[in-house]
Amino acid sequence: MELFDHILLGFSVALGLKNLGLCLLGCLIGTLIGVLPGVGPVATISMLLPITFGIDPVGALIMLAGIYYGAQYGGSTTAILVNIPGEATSVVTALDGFQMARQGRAGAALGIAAIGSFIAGTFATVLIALLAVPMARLALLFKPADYFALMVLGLMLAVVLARGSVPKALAMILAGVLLSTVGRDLETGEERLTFGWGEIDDGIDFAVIAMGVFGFAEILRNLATPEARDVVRGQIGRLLPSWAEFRQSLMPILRGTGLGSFLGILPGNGAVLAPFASYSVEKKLADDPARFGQGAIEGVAGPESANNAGAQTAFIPLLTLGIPPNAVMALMVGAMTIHNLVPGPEIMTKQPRLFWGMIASMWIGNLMLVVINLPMIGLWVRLLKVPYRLLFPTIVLFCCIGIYSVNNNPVDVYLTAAFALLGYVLILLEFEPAPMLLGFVLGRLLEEKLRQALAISQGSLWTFWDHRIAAVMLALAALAIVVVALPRIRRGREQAFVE
Amino acid sequence: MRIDRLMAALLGLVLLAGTARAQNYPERPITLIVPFAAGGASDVSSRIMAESMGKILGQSIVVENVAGAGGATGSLRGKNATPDGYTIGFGHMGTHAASVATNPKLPYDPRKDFDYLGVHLTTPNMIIVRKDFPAATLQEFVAWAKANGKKLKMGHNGVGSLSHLTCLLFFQQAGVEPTYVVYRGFGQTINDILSGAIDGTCDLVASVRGHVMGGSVRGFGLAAAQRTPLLPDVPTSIEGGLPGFQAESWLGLYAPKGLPAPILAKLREAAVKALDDPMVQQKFQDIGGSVPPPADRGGQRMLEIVNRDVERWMEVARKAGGVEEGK
Repeated sequence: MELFDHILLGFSVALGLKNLGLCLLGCLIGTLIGVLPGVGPVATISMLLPITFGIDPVGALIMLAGIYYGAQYGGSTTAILVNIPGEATSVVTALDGFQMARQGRAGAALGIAAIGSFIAGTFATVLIALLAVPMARLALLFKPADYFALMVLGLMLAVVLARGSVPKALAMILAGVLLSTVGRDLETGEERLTFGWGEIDDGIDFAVIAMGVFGFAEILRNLATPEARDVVRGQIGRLLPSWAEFRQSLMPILRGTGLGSFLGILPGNGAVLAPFASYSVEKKLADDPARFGQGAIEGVAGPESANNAGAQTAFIPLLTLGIPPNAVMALMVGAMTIHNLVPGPEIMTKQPRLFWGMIASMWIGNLMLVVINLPMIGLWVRLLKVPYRLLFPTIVLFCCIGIYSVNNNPVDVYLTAAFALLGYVLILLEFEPAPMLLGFVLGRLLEEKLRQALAISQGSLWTFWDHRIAAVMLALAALAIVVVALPRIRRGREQAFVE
Repeated sequence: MRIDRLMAALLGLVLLAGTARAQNYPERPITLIVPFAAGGASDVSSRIMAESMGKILGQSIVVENVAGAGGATGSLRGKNATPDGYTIGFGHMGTHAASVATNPKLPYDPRKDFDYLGVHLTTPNMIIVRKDFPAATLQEFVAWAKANGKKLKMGHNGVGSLSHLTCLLFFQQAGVEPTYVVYRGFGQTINDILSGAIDGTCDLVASVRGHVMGGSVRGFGLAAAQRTPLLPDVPTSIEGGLPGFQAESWLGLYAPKGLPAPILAKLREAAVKALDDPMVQQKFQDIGGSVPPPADRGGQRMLEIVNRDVERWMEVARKAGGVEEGK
């Protein structure tokens, strides 16, 4: 009964004309920026933050949230149509989504991404409303040792799901972890692997590597192979997936939603793992795993749902504990602070209008994304159908602006160029860059959590045994490696990845 | 002779142009460099100041976030900016005092390289512990720390961060050496305090206020002479019997050294005047800080505060030894 009152209160706030308009505006700006490769939600939100000074807190947060999931959605569009994932989370979508686009089924891929995201979003919204309080307690069970084990498990899963040979995937993950150690040491402040070059004291920015290795390198590859140009111009096909395709996608969507919802709650950007985990689960469960990487619709439906569910449940640690699990949420903290709101457990009790209004607006925002974007896919496609001689310089320009705007530092742009070359060489040598990116993202956390866990246990490795969650996850990680190493399974896996 | 006269004429022209420029200042928008990412207390306070000072000067002030190296990257850019009044910067106790003690490669000297505009916000530091920690007061906490030594696990937000230095200062005063667990930023530290993985931290009232008020952590040992109206229930370090633990963090603005005197005067006046704006005072209180008393406002006073705190933190670092060595 109380929950019903809360939801009613939420909708009465979110359905106000002004808040509805702000939600729509946020979703539109977010999608537009998300579609353009290079300018991510972090850059957008920080640029738009000052605008929200003048709006009341509820409206400001509703608009910022709209930008956030709009950008997530727009990122998948680009991943499917141009094979350029705007963010780490849409890397997986590109694998099968782009293959579908190649086969003239771009419409079905975009459609199922939207439908999956909507189902995931609806579920995640209900979940936030229902479980905000008890779920926050669950996240608190995770100590540094458990986080470390979770990262190890995540990286091992990434090896399992990577295309191509296991040693190559492992090498790329380790290269990513190594890149993440560049910069100041956490505990001593000593410089590591900087070769005395002050500009990388703070390490290499995620955007620099992602944009270079994925965005720019992809452009280089496209320019080298003229026939790939037709992909963007290719048939979009019917927008709604067929009934058979939908039935095929339903279980992956539900599984992805569950996975994403769980991982999103974990502070420390667990949501980034969600699409990877969902993809490997779907591939394992599929009757014919060989279709994955060849345009399997489950490979789009599952990870997209997981992505959106995770993006949304990431609000739980923010709203219940005041802990931002990622950079975008950190900006949300800033926006709340400006409006005299202390993010944390008090928000729910002291600002019920804001808390429930924001939750209701999440669902409305998701609905808007489907309603607006399905008809507007044509527009986004036309945006991407622009000839390469116009499209590529524009993308490069936007990427440069985007990268510059992360730290307002020109060196980041040069570094991106260097990573573009590296990425191109990797593609030529048939190394998959996705595991490297994941290794980079998780590597930093991996090291931090390991050292924190060991500082807490004062050097004793038994801490990973004493923390039962950690012990179970490490065991699972070991199992994953053993399974992959078994000759029979390895052969099967290699068959699965043959293109 | 002729060349001399030409030079004199040229010099005169330049001077004239200079005066004219100072009189019309500001003719275009001013950039305010914030050496941290958007969203934190530093960024928010800068944007509030930018808005108010912009109104006073009749030009907009645009905030540019240049994050990196604990604020050193952006502050270096501020130091090297053309001293024409169109680039100013933000600095706080960490970037413009403690950094001298913690970063031997600091590419600027806060005592010499800046013309200060004034401190606009202060917030004291305090100790927080997880809510089931077996100590409710500062005395009990110090006694527990002395009895258990390394078993006490204190988190901080990174080498050289304000929370690190505050912890060092506190435990020097208390005469104990706890185990330090290092995090990247307050979000991570507080998470592990809430989950009970570590025991506590030493941080700004502005950062921990929400958690103390919400009852999810216990706070004591406010490092100030008087209790703060933001957290009236938290006793000071003096009440807790450790009067040497005094650490108030300040946030302020600067211009690169060598600004023409009339322009500097205009900027300083605007920075001081903005603090009288009730909207500014309200917003600062909302983010957990207070506007400094009139005696502590202005650029001259800020330079004194910088000099004082550089000495203070050098002393703390010298005693700790490991900090300088580790950096």
